[in-house]
Amino acid sequence: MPIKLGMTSYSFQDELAIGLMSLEDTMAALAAIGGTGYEAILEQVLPKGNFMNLSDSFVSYWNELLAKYSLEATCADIFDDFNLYRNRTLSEKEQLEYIVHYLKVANRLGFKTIRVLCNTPISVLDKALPIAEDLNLKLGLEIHAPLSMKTQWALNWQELLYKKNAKNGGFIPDFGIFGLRPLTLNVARAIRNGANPEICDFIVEEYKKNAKKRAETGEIIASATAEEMLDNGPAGSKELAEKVLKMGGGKEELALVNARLCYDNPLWLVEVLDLIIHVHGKFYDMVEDGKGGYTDPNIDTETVIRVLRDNGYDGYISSEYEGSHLQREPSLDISYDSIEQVRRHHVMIRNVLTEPYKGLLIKYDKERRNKK
Amino acid sequence: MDDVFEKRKFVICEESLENVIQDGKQIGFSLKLRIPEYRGLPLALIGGIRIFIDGNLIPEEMISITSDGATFKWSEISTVRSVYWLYEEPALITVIDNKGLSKGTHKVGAYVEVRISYMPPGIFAGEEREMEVRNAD
Repeated sequence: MPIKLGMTSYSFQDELAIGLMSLEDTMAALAAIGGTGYEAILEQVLPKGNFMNLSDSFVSYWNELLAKYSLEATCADIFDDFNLYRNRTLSEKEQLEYIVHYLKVANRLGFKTIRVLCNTPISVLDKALPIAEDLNLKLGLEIHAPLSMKTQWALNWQELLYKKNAKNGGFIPDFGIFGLRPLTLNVARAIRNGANPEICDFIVEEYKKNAKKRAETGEIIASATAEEMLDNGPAGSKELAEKVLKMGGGKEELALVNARLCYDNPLWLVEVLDLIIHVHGKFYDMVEDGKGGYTDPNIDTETVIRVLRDNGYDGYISSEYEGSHLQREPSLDISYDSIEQVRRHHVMIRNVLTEPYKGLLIKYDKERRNKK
Repeated sequence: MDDVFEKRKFVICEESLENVIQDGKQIGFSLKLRIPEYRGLPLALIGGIRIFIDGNLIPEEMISITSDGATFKWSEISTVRSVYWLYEEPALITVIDNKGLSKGTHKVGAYVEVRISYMPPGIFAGEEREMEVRNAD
């Protein structure tokens, strides 16, 4: 089976919040783009309190919409709001109850996969696995920048799955872990706010050097909370921050250094391919590539798609546009178009997926003429 | 810890500023806000609401919030788990100050802190707009 394309409702968050698009509109747009997998943030797309109390009539409406646009419900994104109360952290039992609620809602809506955030305790996930299995759901721990595939945290989850022989657990890599540079949109914003463009360039170049080094060594990072990754990730080195300060950089430049990015070697995906149950095609800024196609200068998407393609990944890539919240300053005219951004992302992925079949006749003809 | 204000569009609903009238008397005002987060949240996860009228901060104890069909005073919301600030439906913020707003245009600032387990605390997201009161003495 070939790789399938979809989208998460996260991509159209502004349109949904303001009411410019309805749930049906987002599905229709995805179908028009050519995708077949609808991923959803439940508390974003379920209207009128249906997240807490899912009504039968909404479930029927949801199923009708999926059928109408030939879509399938792919992944439901869930959260662990263990900080719900200010005076204490939710106990693991309470966190599990919260997760079970999500699982039941996702199951009734026909989702097959659950995206779990990296800050959910693995001991809670351990208990959630059999419950998910009964509901025909896979639990995918998201590997999201600045966390990396090569961390003790990721290994712990892997070990647990092998030890339990749990077939319904895995990973959901987010393309943000293949970050090529401090984000173009953030650099532009920093410069608008008075950052020195030369120092910004310097930070970008240093990031690239560090990213390359990281991709070559691939040491397992032992302590891997997001905070600790800021010091270990390619963008977040304390040394770089000190250099930037010496050059005269301030708050804006330092924000580019501590930007929670990382670069994992795309080939590392092969080592965990059996465990990849869904993919978040995170992207920030799809621009014309000058060759008739599109690219995101921030993410090493093309390389990653080639690795997935050539190693037989046959699940979904769910396009996740994350440029909108970086361009919402009140003084700026809005120029991004989430729908066009997702369309371009799909065009780029399809371009890479069809590479092996392109130009065969041209090549054959050329060789044949030369033989003569 | 000082509040950090992060400006972002689309939080204030245009033309939502109104005076609250009771027994023919202006007793306060209200406006509608969209949640500055990419999903709806239980009210307990709202960390703070900062409303400024013509530069003056409204004390939180004067604020109540209506969402998902229920109304809570600010002092009550830290325990509200099952009522959500819905994603597609703005919340109504009501301020009872026994005077309401004078006729005409006011500079309104509205910032909301959402408590997200993986984000640093203390960040209030919102915006400022010139708004006309829809009904005033």
